[in-house]
Amino acid sequence: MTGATGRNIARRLLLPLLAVAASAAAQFDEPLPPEEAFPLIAFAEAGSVVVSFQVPDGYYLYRHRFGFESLTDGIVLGVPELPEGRPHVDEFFGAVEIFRGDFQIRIPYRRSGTMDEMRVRLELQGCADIGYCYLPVSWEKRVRLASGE
Amino acid sequence: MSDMTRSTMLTLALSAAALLAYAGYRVVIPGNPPDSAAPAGASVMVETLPEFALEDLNGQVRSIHGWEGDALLINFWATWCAPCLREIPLLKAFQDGGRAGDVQVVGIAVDHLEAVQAFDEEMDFNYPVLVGELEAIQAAAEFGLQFFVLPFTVFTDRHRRILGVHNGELHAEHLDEFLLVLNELESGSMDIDTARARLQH
Repeated sequence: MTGATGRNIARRLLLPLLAVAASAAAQFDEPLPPEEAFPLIAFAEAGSVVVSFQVPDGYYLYRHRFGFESLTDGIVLGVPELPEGRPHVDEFFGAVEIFRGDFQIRIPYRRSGTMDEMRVRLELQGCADIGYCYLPVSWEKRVRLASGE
Repeated sequence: MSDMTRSTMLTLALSAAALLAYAGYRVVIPGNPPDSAAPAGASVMVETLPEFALEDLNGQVRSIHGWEGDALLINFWATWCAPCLREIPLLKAFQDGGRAGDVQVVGIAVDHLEAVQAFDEEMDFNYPVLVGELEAIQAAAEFGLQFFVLPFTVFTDRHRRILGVHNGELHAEHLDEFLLVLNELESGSMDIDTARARLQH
């Protein structure tokens, strides 16, 4: 099995497992830890960092609260490409856009060196339909870069 | 300062707080991937009100133990949290309408002081509001939380015993139940264990 194949299999298996765990916890109305409410994986593909989310039912993320930053010298991130979100009218904050379920964000990167890994900081914030919100979080992920990327 | 800059600063501040004072709040610890296994649960681990002090909207530092003889309803919230804002009129009516009796509502805003002061001009709070960013997170950590969501409410009796917590938006029935339990506890018709069992929402 190649490293890339292994990563792809892990990618396919990991998020569904997290989603099952999240659904089980949600049955008890106990807030999920943020990493289970907003599970994600990050990987490199075709010159972009891809951040893939699988947000369980009842939870959502705000489009305007996303942030991405390269923590690796010599790697610069471009403008994130976000899919179209869902319109959400907030009684206090007006019209905003949110993301639910499965979605991916692509952030093109430019590399000036031979590094085979980068560290990226992700910022996000979301809420649960049942009536609570999470503090803004800042997560750091390591992303393997293929030599030809 | 722009909203984005403020947001980024708060996020960075949260990261620093996690490293320095809130090891259990794993979401902002660099190098701890969010897809790693993590124990669930935001339940309170302590039985009595911890000691902490925060600034109020006038900049005066106030201890959470400063309301001698009152039972407390301690409500953690933020100006960017819609469910938090929805419940504030309920809390004001509860404090103002005589229903609260010897219960003191105390708001704790996990937020920037300026944002809360501006919000106070619209909302005109009738109960004390304490404010902090890292400090308010540390205050929440004093309850033994692994993580917390907003709004988050703690109920105590007048002896500073924690009776229960509520994650998420409060509704009138939660306040009714709190008062009922307090009354029964005070009259001696309910013991502390039963009171806690009743208020574990």
